[in-house]
Amino acid sequence: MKKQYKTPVRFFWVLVGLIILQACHPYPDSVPITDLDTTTTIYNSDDLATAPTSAAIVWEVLHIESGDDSDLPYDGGADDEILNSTLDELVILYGQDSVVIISETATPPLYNPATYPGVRIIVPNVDPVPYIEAVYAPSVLLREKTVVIAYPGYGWWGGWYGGYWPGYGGCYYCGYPSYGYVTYEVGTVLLEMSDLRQISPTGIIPDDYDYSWVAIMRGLLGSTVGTQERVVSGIHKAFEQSKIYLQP
Amino acid sequence: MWSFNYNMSFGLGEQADYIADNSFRGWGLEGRGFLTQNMSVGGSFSWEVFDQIYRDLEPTTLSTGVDNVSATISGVQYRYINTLPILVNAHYYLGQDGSVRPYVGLAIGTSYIEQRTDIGLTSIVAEGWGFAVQPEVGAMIPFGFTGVGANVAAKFRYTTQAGDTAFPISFFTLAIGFAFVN
Repeated sequence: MKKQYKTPVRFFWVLVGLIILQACHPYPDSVPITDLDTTTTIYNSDDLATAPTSAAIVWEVLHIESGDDSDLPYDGGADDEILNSTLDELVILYGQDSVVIISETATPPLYNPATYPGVRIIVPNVDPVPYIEAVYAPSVLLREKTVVIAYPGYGWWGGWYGGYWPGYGGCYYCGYPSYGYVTYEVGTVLLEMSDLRQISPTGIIPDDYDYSWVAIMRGLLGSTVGTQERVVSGIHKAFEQSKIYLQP
Repeated sequence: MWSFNYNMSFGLGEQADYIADNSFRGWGLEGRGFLTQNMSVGGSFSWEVFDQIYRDLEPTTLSTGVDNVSATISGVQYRYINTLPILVNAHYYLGQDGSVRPYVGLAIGTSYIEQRTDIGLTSIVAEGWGFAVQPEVGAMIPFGFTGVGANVAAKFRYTTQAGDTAFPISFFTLAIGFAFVN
């Protein structure tokens, strides 16, 4: 190659390299953690062909843990937002008079009774059970790589259902929804709704009984960045995008 | 003649509805052999990348594969379209060697399309090969009699809906690069 061409040819190859690299370069350079937040809702259209008209919320956020060092450290700091934001949305959907809180005590922690005077508080094994068509149960996933597990026992509220819910069967399969394409990630907030109308008045539970609606708010607890706001926003989105079949 | 070009592309139609931003991340390599003084045939390969971040969108429906079970996801969407065409081309030139040579051309072939939407850590990917056609006009601008010159071209490419992608791809490209005559 003639010497006079060497410099422009080198320049050319550098330019070629830069142009190819800029096409290959990942976009964007970095991803804010909040951009990875997603709210996924799954529902059974048969179960919810008609929306429930009343609902209960289990006033406890279940912390799903493996009990070893792999669990995401979590002090329950977002439980307040998870419970009260869900209650807010239920009251919007069904009205105060059609929402009950299922609590282990008559004075549920993290709840201000003045907020919704019309919402009743039901203590298992103590209070008479009202007619309710749907039960919402919140949980947070703190263990790694959970696929399908059962809740760690029924807990106080599950047992209550089993023994005292008039007209309904007592068994609640409190496992993860079986929709296999969902990958749960540590830090995910889950909100599951059981449609009690699927259980016969004599208490017979269909073989394919499962959650009728599930909201999966990914990774909200995996970072300390704006956790409370992100939880509130995620729960609101879950109900907002499900309003068409959850609202009576 | 070989040319290497930097491509700036501007989406049209349904593609622009999906990603409104223009692409400034593209390049192309092209070879042409002259059959006569005014006509060449050859081939080309290029890569164009369109991308855009969308916030506050309506939720997206996901396929569950389970009867009577539907899923909806909301979140920030990172959208990408990658196009990688392999085309054969023919060009007709005006002017003479050593002078600016305007040309018109037509390229046809196939193009690999990847359309990807990332929502959180969920990727919705559609891809496939489509038939592509690309008319173009341009000019070779020689740097004296060195055998080296600049190439500028305006192209329009249409690719039929490829594989499971949602729409055909169509965009204008402005290409600027170097050309070598060997």
